Amino acid sequence: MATGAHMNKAWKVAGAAFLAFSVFVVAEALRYGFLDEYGPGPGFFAVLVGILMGIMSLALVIKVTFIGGPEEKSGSVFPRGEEASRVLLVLGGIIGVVFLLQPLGFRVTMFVFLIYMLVSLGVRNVWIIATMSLGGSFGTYHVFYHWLKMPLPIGYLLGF
Amino acid sequence: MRCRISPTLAVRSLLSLLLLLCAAQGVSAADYPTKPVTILVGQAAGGSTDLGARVFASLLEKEFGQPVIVVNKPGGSQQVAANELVRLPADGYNLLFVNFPALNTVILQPARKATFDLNDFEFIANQVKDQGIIIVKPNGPYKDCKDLIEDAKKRSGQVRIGLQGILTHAHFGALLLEREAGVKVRTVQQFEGSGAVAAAVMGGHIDAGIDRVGSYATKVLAGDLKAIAIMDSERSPFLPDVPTSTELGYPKWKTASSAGLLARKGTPAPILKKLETAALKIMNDPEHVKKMTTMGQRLGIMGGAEYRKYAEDWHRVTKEMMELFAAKPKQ
Amino acid sequence: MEAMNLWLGGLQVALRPENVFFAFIGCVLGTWIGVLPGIGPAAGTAILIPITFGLDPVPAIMMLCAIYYGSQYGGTITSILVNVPGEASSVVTCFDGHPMAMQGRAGTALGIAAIGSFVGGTIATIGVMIVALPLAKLALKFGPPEIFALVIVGFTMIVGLTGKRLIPALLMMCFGLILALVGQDPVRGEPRFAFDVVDLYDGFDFVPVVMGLFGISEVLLNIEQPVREVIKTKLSSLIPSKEEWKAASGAIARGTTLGFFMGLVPGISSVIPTFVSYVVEKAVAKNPERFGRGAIEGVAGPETANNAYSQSAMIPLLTLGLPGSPTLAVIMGAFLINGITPGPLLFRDRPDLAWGLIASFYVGNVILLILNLPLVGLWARLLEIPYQYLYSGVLLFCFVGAYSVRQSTFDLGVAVLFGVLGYIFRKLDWPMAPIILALILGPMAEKALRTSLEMSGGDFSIFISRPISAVLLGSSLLILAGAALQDHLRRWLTRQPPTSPKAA
Repeated sequence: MATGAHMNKAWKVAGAAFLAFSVFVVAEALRYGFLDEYGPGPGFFAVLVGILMGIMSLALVIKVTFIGGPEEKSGSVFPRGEEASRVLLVLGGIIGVVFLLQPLGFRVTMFVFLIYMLVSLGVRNVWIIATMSLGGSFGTYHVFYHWLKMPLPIGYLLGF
Repeated sequence: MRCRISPTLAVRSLLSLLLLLCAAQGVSAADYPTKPVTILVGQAAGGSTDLGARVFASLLEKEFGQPVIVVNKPGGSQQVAANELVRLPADGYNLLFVNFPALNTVILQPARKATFDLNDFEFIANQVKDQGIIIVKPNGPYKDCKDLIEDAKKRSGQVRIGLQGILTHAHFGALLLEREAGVKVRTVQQFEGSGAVAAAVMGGHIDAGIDRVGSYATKVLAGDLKAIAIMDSERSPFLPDVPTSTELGYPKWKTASSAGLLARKGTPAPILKKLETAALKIMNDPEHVKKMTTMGQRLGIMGGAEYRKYAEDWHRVTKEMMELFAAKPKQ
Repeated sequence: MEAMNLWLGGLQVALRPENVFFAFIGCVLGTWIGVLPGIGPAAGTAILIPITFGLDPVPAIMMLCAIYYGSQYGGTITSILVNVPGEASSVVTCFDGHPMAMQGRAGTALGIAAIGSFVGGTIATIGVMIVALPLAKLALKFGPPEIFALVIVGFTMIVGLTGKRLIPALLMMCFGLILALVGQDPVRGEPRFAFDVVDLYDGFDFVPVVMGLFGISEVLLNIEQPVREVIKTKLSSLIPSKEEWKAASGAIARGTTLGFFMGLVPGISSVIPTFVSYVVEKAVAKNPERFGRGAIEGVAGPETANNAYSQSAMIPLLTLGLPGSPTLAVIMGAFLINGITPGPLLFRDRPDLAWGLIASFYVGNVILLILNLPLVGLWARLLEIPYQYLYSGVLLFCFVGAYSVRQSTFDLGVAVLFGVLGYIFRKLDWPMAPIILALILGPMAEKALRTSLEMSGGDFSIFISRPISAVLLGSSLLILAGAALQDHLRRWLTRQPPTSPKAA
C-alpha cells in the first residue's frame, strides 16, 4: 500500500472541509455589513479573510490532486487499535472534566480526574496516586484561592 | 462488606442537606458578608474604571473583613461583565463596577441583543463622574476651540476627531459638537484605549481627540497635549484654565462618563442597605479621595436612589443621541 | 556628562537595600507569574497593585516593573519543558526550545534564554538611558496605517517562517484570523460568529486556544505510545558548547537590536519582535533546515528580543505616558495610583525616581540571572519525571490556565476543542504557529485597517501615500515573493557560485 496515499487523502479531506468553512464564513460575514455609510463595517475584514481562506483551501485540494501532496510518511495518518483506544481514553477523561467542573467543583473534579488519568496510564502505587491527586486538586485550589486570589469553581451540587 | 442505603434514607438526608443549605443562606443575609465578595469589572486590568474599582475593593475588604476580589471580564464595552452579573445569584456576593452611559448604549442598541435592561440592576453607589474633554496637538494649527470649529466649517467633514467606539460618551461629544456648532466632522472611532487616541493626536495622524478628563489631565499638564474645551458647565478641578463648552457659547454641548457599583435585581434589601452604607463611607474616606484625586479621577459620589436617577437620565440622552446619529446625513 | 551623573544618582537610589529587596521580590513573583498558567503579567501586576498602597512609590514601582520583565523570562520555562507557552511572547520559543529539551538539551536552552534575556535587557536599558526622548518622539510617526503595514509584514513573515508548507500555513493563518474575529465588533458592538452564545461575545482568548493547540494536543499525541523514553539531562549539557556559543552570540546581538527598536513603537505587541527575530535567524543561518529541530539560535534570538523589547517599551511609557501593551497600561495605572505621572515632566520633577527606575532595570536583570541560572538544572530535571505523572501534570496545568484567565468553564471547553483540532493538525503535519500569531495580531490588524480607512474616508491609497507604510508594505511583498520562489532561488544560487560583492 502506498503510504503517501493516506496523507494525500487526509489533506484533501481537510482542504475540502476548510473550503466549506470559508464559504460559510463569507456568507455569514456578508450579513454583518461590508462597507456602509460609516466606513468599513463589522463584516469587512471577515469577508476578505474568508475569500483568502477559500482560495487557499481550493489551491490545496487542486495541488494535492494534480501536482502531488506532502512527502511520504509511513503508516496511516490516525492511529488504530490500541493506540487509538489510549487516545480516546484520555480524551474521554478530559471531556468529562469540562462537563463536571461546574456541578462538582474544581477540587472534586480534579481529584477524580487525576486518579482516572494515573490509573488508566498504568500507575498502581496507591501512595503516589493519593499524593498526586490530592495535591493537584485540593493543593492547587488552595494556592490559587488563598495566595493568588484567583477563585476556581465551586460545585453547585456539593457546595464546595 | 457491602453497605446498602435505602432510597428513603438517601432522599431524607438529601432533604436535610438542602435545609441546612437554606438555613446557611438565611444566616448570611443577617451577617453578610460571610465569604469573599467578587466585583466584576467590564474593562481589562489597568483601565481607569478598573483602578478605581481596585482602590474601592481594597478599602471594602478592610470594612467587611472578607476578601474582595476584582474580576476583569472585558469585552463588548461591558456587555460581557453585565451579562455575567445577571446570570449569577442575587446574593450580594457578586457586584459590578460599571460606566454610564456605556451601559445605556449596550441596552439600547438593538444589534447588541442585550439580555438585560436597567431594571435588572440594583444601584448601590456611584464613585466617579468625569467630564468630557477635547484635546489637540500642542503647537498645532488650533490654538483654541474656535479655531477647530472654524476649520470644521471650512473643511466640512474632513476634520478628523478620534474617539473610542460608536455611541460612547465621547461619540456623544462629537455628535453634539456637530449639532450645536453646525459643523460636520469625520469621526475616527476604532481606537482602543485613550492612550491610542493620545498617540494619534501627538503624532498628527488625527486632528483632535475626545475622551474624559481623567484620561488626559496628566498629559495636558505635562504639555504633551493641549485641551481646548471641557464639555460641561463646570470647569475641571484638574485643569482649571481650560474653558467649558458653556463658556464657549454651547451650553448643550455636554458629555460625561461615570463609574459606580451595581448589584443584581432581587438582592435582599438589608444586604443592599449594608452595601450602600459601606460604599458611601468608603468613598468619602480621605484615603479614597486622595487616591482617586492623584489618579486624576473626579469623584461624583451618589447614593443608590440618586444614582438610579442619574442612570435613567442617561437613558433618555442616549436615545436622543441614537436618533441624532441615525438622522446624520451619510458621508 | 550630565546623563552619566544622573544615571549614577539613579544607581545609588536603585542600590538602596530596600529597593534591591523589592526588585528581588518582583523578579521572583514575575518568574512565577510567567510560569503559572492563566495569570498573565497584566493580571498579576493588577492583583499586586493594592499591596503597594502601603509602600513608598519608588520601591513600589520598581517591584511592579520587575514583575513585568521577570514574567517575560518565566514564560520561557514552560515553553521549553512542556511545549506550552506561559505567555504570548514565548510562543516562538516552543519551536526550537522544546525540540532541544527532547534531545536532552533543556538545560542549554534554558541557560541561553536566561543569558540572552540578561544581555538583551541590559543593553536595551543602556539604550533607554541614552536615546529615550528623541526616539520616542520619532516613534509617534507610526500611526494606524503604519501599524497595519507592520502587522502585514508580520503576517508575511509567518509565511516565511514555515517555508515549504506555504498553502497550509496561509490556510492556518486565515483560520486564526477568523477566530480572532469572533465576538462583538469593537466599535459597533454587533456580535460576529457568536450565534447568540453569550460566552462567545468576548471572543476566543489566547490562553485557552494555546493550552489546547499546544498542551492538550501534545499529550494526546504522546499518549499513543505506551512508554516514552525518559529524557536524561546530561550535566555537561547545562553549559552551551563552543559552537553553540558562537551561533547564539550572533542571535543575541541581532535580537537585542530588533527588540529594542520595536519596543519604541507604541501598540506593537511583544509577540512581533519574537517571531521577527526567529525569521531573521532562520534567514541568516547557514543551514536553515536545523530550525524547528532544536537550533539554539531559534531560542536565543527571540528570547533576547522579547526582553530587549520589554525594556525599551518602557520608553514611550516613561517619556510620553503612552503604554504600549496591556501590562504596561497596568504599570501606568500603578504610577498614577502612587501619584506619579509618567511623561517628560517625570524626568524634571522626580529625577530620583525616573533614573532610579532605569537603574533598577540593571539591578533587576542581574537578579534575574543570578536567580535563574542555578535553577536551570532543577527545571531541566522535571523532564525526568515519568510520563504518566508529567502528562497528568501538564493536563492539570492546561485546565487551570484555560479556566482562570477569564474564570470561565466555557474556555475550558474551548481548550479541549482546540486540543482535538491541534491533534488533527499535527497529524496532517500542518503548522500551528500561524493560528496563534493570527489570533494575537488579527484584532490589531483589523483595528488598524479600519481606523486607517476612517481616517482617509474610505480611500485605500492612504497606505501607499504615506512613506513608512508604503515601504513596509513593499517589503512584505518582497518577503512573499521570496518565500514563493525560495526553492528556485536556492537552485539558481547553487548553480552559480555566488560572487562576493564585499571582495570588490
